[in-house]
Amino acid sequence: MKRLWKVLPPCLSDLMGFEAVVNETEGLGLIDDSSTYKPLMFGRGGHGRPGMEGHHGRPGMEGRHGHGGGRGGFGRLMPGMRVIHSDIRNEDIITGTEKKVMLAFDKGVKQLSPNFALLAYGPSASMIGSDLEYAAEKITEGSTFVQRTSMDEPASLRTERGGASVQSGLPAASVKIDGEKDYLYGISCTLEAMGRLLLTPRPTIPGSLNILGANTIDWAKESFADLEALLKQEGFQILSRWGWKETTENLKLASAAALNLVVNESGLRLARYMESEYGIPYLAGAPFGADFTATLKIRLKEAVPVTDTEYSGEKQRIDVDLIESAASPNEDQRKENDVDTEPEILIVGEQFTANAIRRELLRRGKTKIRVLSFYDMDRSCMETGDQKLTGEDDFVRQANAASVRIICADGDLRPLVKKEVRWVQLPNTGSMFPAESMEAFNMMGGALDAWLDQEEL
Amino acid sequence: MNREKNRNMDEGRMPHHGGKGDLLLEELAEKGMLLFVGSVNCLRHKPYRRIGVLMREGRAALLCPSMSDFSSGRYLNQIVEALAELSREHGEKRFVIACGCQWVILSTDSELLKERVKQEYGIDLTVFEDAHLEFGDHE
Repeated sequence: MKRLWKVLPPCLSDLMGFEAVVNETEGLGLIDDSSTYKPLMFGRGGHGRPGMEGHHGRPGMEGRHGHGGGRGGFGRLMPGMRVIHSDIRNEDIITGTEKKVMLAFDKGVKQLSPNFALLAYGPSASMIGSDLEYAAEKITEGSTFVQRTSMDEPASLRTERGGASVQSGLPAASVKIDGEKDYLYGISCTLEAMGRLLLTPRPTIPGSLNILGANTIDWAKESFADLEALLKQEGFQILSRWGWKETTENLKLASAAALNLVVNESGLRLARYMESEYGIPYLAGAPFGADFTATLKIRLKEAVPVTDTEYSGEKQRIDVDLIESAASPNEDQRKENDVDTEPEILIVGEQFTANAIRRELLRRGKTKIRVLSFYDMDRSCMETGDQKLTGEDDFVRQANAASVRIICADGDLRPLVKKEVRWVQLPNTGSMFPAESMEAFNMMGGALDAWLDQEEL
Repeated sequence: MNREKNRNMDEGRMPHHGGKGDLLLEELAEKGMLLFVGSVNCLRHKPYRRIGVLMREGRAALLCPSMSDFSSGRYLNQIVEALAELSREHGEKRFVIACGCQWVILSTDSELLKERVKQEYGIDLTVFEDAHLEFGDHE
């Protein structure tokens, strides 16, 4: 049945996606929840996932750093953490969590000196309808929860009441996630909220672009380094990286970009916002595979003139599907793949990465390939037959179809397939408790081709 | 320690209150197949660290209703449906529910639920109504 998980271990939640983004910024993340959020630590010298202690991951962070306790108040933050919690208790469910949110925020500001703040809902805070939008407004105004009853206090003053003070004028916003959905959705909503909070209109800088959606859960650091090197080599100026390590100053510059390059599904929400608000066009697709990378370079050159003489001053409108439609080597193969027949190859994972694998397989003459995902998927990047999986039953139906011969997916799905298939293991960084952890690996440019060769696909 | 732990379990509370909770799921799963009901985010807590292992062994499952399922009360029917499906597939008649905070906030009537699944499916259900926001399950 829908929402019942019998075999597949849980994925990272939207709040963990929030954490993955905020920890790479100079901001502060505050989750209105009852206990500490611990580092995710993927792929970047990784420490295993939450709950992996003593299994495939390394021992728990709390053991090695000696200050990881979940309760007992707001203690010292673990290294790399910029996300705190409000430390709510049972009584706050009755009286509201606002006071705890402000107290936690105040302490967080003292520890981290952030230059913006994002607030998100823990499941319990969401259940009782906590108003984090209001809290964010108060933080931005520099007022406190007490000022609900004393509005004549000057907003610019730092107030100190009931043990809570709030720094004046720190940009703050709430993110409408509550631990119910997957990490990609969380990353996506967090990036959009950051964009809405930090961006203002700026004159366009010719030859500049932003990278949207490359995040520390899905992307190997080698992939990101190669992408940056490629873009710089081609003469582009990278103004900001959304989802990767970045300064607030650079994030604020993003509205001056001539183009957004969206390399992961989680960057699309922000890209659409920036297109509608600042007229910045975007290209969407993970730049994996040598053939595709070559196409990308051409498309980028067309879309983003790198010199002043080429620059007309107008941002070009670009078809959202430009890269995706350029992916298949020829239209016939693309049509063949769209034919309403049973699939032969299933690729299950983050949509853009899965699409990249499909593109390369199509180029190699394979057909009848479907992309499926348990995570957030975007309709505009789906082909006929692709499906957002809402439960194990959906996957069981697809995977056990007579026509399916090859499945590229997390190995934890394997027990759900009751027939002989060729299994190609994909990274499972989005899984909270994988049986066997497979970190993201470099797929940039020819690295994807080399991996497919190795897998004899 | 063990006596206290057993007493807590017999009284329908999480053992290891304020403690590490490492063995929590194993202990619960000894009482029957485990069904966790709550948000996926709640599984980050230490006591659930072995939920993946138990799932692979066919001793645990997750039911993650949406917020609207909870607020509309649909989650109660979803629980019954899930228990019936798991019972049918595993030939199991003993189940343990471990729950997220929603269960407590909504004052879920565990006794009524136990009666219903006993009557309709012959299932013996134990519910650990953990003081979810107070004790060690959030470590």
